[in-house]
Amino acid sequence: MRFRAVDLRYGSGPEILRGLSFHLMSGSFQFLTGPSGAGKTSLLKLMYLAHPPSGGAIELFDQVVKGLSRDQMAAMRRRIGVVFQDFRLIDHLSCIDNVSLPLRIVGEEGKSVNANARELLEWVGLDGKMNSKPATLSDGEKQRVSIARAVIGRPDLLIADEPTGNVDGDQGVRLMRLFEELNKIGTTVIIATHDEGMVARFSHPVLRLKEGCLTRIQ
Amino acid sequence: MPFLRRHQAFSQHASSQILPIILAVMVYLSGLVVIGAMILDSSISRWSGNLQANLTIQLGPLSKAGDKEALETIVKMLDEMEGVDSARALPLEELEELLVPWIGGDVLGDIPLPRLIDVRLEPGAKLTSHKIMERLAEIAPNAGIDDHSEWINSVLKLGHLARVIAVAVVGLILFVAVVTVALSTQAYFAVHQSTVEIMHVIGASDRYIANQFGRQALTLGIFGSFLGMGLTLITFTLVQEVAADATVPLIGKIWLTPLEWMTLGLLPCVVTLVSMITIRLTIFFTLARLY
Ligand SMILES: Nc1ncnc2c1ncn2[C@@H]1O[C@H](COP(=O)(O)OP(=O)(O)OP(=O)(O)O)[C@@H](O)[C@H]1O
Ligand SMILES: [Mg+2]
Repeated sequence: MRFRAVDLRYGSGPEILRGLSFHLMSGSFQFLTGPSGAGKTSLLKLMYLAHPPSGGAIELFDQVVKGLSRDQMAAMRRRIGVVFQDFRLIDHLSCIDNVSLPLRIVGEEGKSVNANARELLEWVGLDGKMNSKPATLSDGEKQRVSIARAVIGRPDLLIADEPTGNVDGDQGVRLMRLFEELNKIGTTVIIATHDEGMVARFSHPVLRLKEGCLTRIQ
Repeated sequence: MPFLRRHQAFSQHASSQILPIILAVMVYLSGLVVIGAMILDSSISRWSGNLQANLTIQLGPLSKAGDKEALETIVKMLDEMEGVDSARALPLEELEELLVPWIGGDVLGDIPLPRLIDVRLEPGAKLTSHKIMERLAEIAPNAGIDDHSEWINSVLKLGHLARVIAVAVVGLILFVAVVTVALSTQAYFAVHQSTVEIMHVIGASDRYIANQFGRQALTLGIFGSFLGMGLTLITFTLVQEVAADATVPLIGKIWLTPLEWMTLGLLPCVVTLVSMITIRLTIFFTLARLY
């Protein structure tokens, strides 16, 4: 992933991100930190193609994003797993159906899809909640469903926005281990967090954002 | 609804349940209009067809005694003409019977009467009154012809107008259906905005999202359209029975030709198809606003 002098503003509002340039190697494990409101979520939105930049150029999987067709963009999004800060689960679907959604949109059907989803939900400690609707879950549980959905398609790039913000310390560490496992099998991982303790605990490079600018690239 | 799969991404919502109702009403209304127009049109053309096969030739007053032979020659000539089924001179007595109530018996004896010849054409004959006149001119220069054509034409125009109005009304109904379906699709999409955004951002293509919604809409749409057609047929059967009991002038027995049945059967298919295209285009149009 490569950013070249990327700016972002929402509509005609102020610039949220200014002149971001960096390069992330495929297969790396990267933290993104910064104070609340610094623009972490906004930067991640650019990365998972939820919002177009207002300036500069973004390259993803060795392709310039600008000028791709809608189908090519969709195909690119399918290579990215996202854990949203606000979970973004589909309310009327059960946990297991939410988790299996990324497989279904690429046309996979049948028992293996459910088995896969069940296994992941067990892994994040939600064995008993397979058929519950998101509304009946705590935030920490929703977050884990969201994580299961993000990783089920074995994405090339995993982007997680505060994935451990709503779980206790042990759970957080356990989830971080899951991300590291994925990283070992080749997934590029980017994790936004303002939990400095977590950043210190795992020795991975850190991108620091402050008021829309990168202050440090480690 | 039971036919929806458990993991269907779009849930049922009031704005989707309105779809079959809209389509049922649209098909019902246009079905009635089409049937009405077809019945009016076909009874008019059947009836005017009967009139067309008949024409009356009027010969200027002949003196009672002398021209019986001339009359016979003319009738014979007409009878042998190609396209003529039969020609018959209206006997004087019959003519007088017709006139007595108007003029009175006493006077009638004295005035010379025009003679009428009733000509029956073979069905589908290409013979025009103009051609007959040309032939007649040789032996009876003072003959006139009454082929009801002016009158028939105005009635046929009515039948034609009924057809044009029906097409216009059906077009209007389809237009309203398209607008309503497009608006309810947008409403449905607005309700499911977050679902659509989630599906989009995890990589569902526009086509996939449209299909997910479309499959459900198609089932509901077909159900609604054919429900409307069913109601149309029930209404038609009722009208048919009432009409069979009453003696309705002009219309008489109500029935449809196979072609008309086909047109009617096409109606729900067209309405469903048009709605599905509308829904799909609305979805693609709405999705195009997402990055
Ligand atoms: N959709 C939006 N429209 C307009 N402004 C927005 C939008 N999303 C975010 N912003 C603004 O952009 C700035 C950065 O927000 P962002 O969510 O990226 O911060 P963050 O670093 O993720 O914060 P936090 O740690 O609290 O999650 C904020 O000032 C916010 O008001
Ligand atoms: Mg954020």
